[in-house]
Amino acid sequence: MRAASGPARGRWAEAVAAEYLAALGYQILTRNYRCRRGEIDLVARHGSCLVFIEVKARRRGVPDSLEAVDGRKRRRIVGAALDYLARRRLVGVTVRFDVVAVQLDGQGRPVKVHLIQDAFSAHV
Amino acid sequence: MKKGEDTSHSPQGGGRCLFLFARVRSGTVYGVDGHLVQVEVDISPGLPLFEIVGLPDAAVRESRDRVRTAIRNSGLPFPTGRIVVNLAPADLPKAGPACDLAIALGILAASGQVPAEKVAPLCAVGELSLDGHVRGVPGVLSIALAAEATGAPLVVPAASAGEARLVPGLSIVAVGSLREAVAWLRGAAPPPPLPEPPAPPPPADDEGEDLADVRGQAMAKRALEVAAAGGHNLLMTGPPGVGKTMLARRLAGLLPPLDRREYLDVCRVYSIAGLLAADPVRRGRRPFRAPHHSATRAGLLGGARGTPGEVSLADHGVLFLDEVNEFSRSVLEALRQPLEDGVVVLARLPRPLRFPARFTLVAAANPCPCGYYGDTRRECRCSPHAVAAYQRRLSGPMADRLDLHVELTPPTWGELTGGAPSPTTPQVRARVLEARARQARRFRGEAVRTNARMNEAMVRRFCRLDGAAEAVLGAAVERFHLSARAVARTLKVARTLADLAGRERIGPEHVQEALAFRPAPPPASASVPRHIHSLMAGGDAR
Repeated sequence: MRAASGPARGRWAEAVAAEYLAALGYQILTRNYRCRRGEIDLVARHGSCLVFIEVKARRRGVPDSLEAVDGRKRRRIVGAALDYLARRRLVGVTVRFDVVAVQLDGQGRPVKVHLIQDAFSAHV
Repeated sequence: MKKGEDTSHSPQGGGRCLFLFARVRSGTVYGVDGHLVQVEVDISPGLPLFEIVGLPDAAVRESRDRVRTAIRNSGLPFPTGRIVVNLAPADLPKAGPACDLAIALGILAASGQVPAEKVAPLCAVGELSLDGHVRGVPGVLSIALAAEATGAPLVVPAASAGEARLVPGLSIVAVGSLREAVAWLRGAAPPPPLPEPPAPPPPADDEGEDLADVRGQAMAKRALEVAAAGGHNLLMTGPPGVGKTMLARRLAGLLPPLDRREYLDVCRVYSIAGLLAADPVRRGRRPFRAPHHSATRAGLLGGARGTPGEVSLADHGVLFLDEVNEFSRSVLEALRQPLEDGVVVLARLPRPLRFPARFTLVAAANPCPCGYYGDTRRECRCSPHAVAAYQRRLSGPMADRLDLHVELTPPTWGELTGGAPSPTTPQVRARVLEARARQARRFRGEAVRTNARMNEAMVRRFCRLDGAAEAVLGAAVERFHLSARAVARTLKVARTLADLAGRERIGPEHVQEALAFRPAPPPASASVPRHIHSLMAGGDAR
């Protein structure tokens, strides 16, 4: 969930991601959804889709962030998504998983934001 | 999002569709037969998944990645949501990437990007490259034949269009890329132009291999003529270098050209083996296959994965087993079924795999391990036991099916430098074609086409002997203790000899000549090397 560079940086990155997404028309519904099966950084509505977003902050740049969403991480995100849908009794919803990669500079300030829509499927 | 509400929306983000479903057809190949596959695509809301069900093999499962990437790289959005692709019927294994194109079109139709009603009646075949190009796949001809019955318009890769056009009366659209197919389906472009039709196969020419190239060996050449005329299997024995391989190669030139049906049969097998594109022109000629004696059972008969073996690649042609004693025993044993039935059936699978294997067998053998047993000029270095054991390997079902045996001896100096003029391939082929025409009339409406394939009832019907001929045969049965099988073989060969002479009745001279081709030397020629029979009777090795 958090980038390895410290909780503060992680929260900062999440805030930047949320702002970025809102500007694109995402309607943020929930932040830091946690349950026993996993955790999700952001839950948003985009068009007709319910989107579960993972935010990754890294100093070294975008490609590194994407690889950090490995199989184990995906399982936890999908598990949390199923929990979210079940608790709210959501049926027949189109779901998507997005990844927002936030690139940080030397001081840990965000310089670039990169969004990958439909980054992975629920096959885990 | 209210609780309990069904919020199924179109994944395109606009408009409401209750369900997203599309159908299209594709094909798969099992053995040599094509089967049509019904591709159903369902897109429903839920966690993003993309699944293919219907006994897909590994290549089909990998379709997911190819299809998704090809769609995206063709500039089209890949729908979100739960995508399930079903390949029906569910109990028929689907093999290979041939369904890629159909799956992609089905997904595009289900998500409303191409009109579903235009896609549904099509039969689409082709592999997708990651950049959206449509690649050729093996077996398109088999699938085209299956589609012919349904009248479905066929969408094929441009690379396979030539193959599909071999089937008359099919409506064919050849596409080079997914983009091209989509443009056509949306009505934005006419169907892509078909590539030039393949040139018709040239008449079987000899490719520089004429019977007259071989010096001497009149008996062997006669045997080739008989083999070509009646479809008889032939064994040649003799020392190395005497010309067995040269002669075997010239058999294909004596055979009649493939007719329309045979041509399609051969193209089908070669397409499945992936060899058709590389060698299309030669398909007018009869296939000639010469596997090395280290060939495995699977290589010779075909694999469970669906690759045809040498016997199937030799369908309607010639299978030449050089140094037949060197083949492994189990491999020779395995040839029993194709020799007997003209087909290879792999029955261990849920659905038996059948491959055609209607070939003429030519086998070449050395008489012994060193090769010079019976050679008049060089001495054989093998013990009698070794010779007997070597010759015994060629026993059982194969020996039963070899109608013609010829022993070759090295040509004399006179024969090498001149001698009597040899018959040429065109001359012999003319006689062979006449004999074949007689057989076509004889066997009209029957299941066989050549004398060699006659069953017992047919032998009784078509191989009646007149008095003199019967006497000759009777004497031979007495003298040489011929078995019933040997008698049947002799009668079939005599029938072919009579056909070659243009005679409907089998005369004594035909029986006499037929007996000369059986696996024991006629009593008059003591100088001819001995065969296993005289050896087993305790004769001297030399």
